Amino acid sequence: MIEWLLLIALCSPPQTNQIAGSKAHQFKWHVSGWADIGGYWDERDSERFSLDVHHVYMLNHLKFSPKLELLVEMALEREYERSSPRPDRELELERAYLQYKWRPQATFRVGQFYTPCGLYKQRHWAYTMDTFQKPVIEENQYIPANALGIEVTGNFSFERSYLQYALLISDGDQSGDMKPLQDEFGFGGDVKYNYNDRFLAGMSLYRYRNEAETDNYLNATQIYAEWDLFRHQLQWRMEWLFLERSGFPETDGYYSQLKWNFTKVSYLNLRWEKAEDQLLSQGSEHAATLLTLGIHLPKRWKVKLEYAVNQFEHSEYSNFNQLGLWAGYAF
Amino acid sequence: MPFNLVLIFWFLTPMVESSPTSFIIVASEKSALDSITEFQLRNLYLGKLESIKSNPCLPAGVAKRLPENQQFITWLFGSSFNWGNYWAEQSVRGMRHEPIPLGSFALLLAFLERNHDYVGYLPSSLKDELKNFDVKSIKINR
Repeated sequence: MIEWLLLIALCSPPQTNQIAGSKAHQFKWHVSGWADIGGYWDERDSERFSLDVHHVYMLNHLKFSPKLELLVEMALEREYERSSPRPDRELELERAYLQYKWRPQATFRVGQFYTPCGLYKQRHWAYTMDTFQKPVIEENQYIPANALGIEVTGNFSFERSYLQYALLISDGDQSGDMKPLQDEFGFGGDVKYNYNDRFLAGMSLYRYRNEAETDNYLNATQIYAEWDLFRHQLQWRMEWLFLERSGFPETDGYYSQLKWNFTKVSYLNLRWEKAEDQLLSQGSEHAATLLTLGIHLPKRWKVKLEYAVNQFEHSEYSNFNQLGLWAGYAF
Repeated sequence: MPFNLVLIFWFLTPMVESSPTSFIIVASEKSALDSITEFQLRNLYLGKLESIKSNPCLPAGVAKRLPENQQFITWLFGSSFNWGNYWAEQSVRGMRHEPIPLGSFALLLAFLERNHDYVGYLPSSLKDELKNFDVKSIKINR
């Protein structure tokens, strides 16, 4: 409870886009965040349904000059876990980094930040993405969500396209989300190409290794694409992940989805996925199909209704269906 | 995609009239920018692009309470684009700011006159106002 009060107390009124006189390049302090509530009716436990607050995030974004920025993000979260038991809520430092924009082609970050990987890896999934549940390849966090280290990112823009890259050296995932790789050294990068806001494709390559145990490693390759049709009314998206890990056979996983924005504020999203699932089925293959209805309400509210069909390769894990309800608010 | 599926989407997706208002893009006379593509303009207003041909370039606009604000969004992004949702998502991701909002077009033109790195917009019907300020029209390459 104290953690909740602390987080709410820190959410002071946002001071956005302060401009005085004709000079736009001033110190800016921007506070934002989001919170959500949701729950699932689950076939495995039909007696139980409880709405629960899953995330409360607060970002403090300080812009000292057009080139120098600091972002500090605190999180109080209890992710919707398909495995059990569910973890307790903890107030954590999610991100804290200093950013220097040297030029559009080279921006430097030092501190703890999200691993630049894939289309939308772990970036506030519940609020910013189309579904309530993350895909299996994201839920398992085969590639650590956070990195503590140095990142260089940049953008090469052309008349009708842009190329974006990110390179990082990480000294582990300090958030503790990915225990097996928590203390490991990692490096890698991501490159993506956007053509005319219609088509986007990219690739991420990462390698993590334990410095003490040189035979403990993970090599990850992720390929992704997004295609917009009819000026954002219909959108197709896919991500494919290939893994080489010490002690495990090579494996891959994917998700593919089709989203139809049938009005400006509502959509239907259909997602198919298949991947090795360490959380739910101890590494056996998990296939899922999800249908989501999403509605964007005024004042930055969103609601989602989601039906999920889960199937497993091995019969020792029972197939099950779920119906989820979610609401989120950004401030 | 099968042709009948395309037809279903086409008929079921609500059709909204295109915006009747057209806009011109404006910047300070001292700006190095003379032309911009529609792709660059969209990405500029989405905060994804901060320079064009190595020249810093930032977006400015008018306040949300003015109807021209929404008309410009519809003109640039189409009627199905949800501007409010886009910025709500950017806000929780961090590191993004909406285009600077000015209270009127007169204030916007005065702001652009003094801030050479910014571009703004003006309804075509107000094009004559350009002669009262030290700003120029930027050509849009479709």
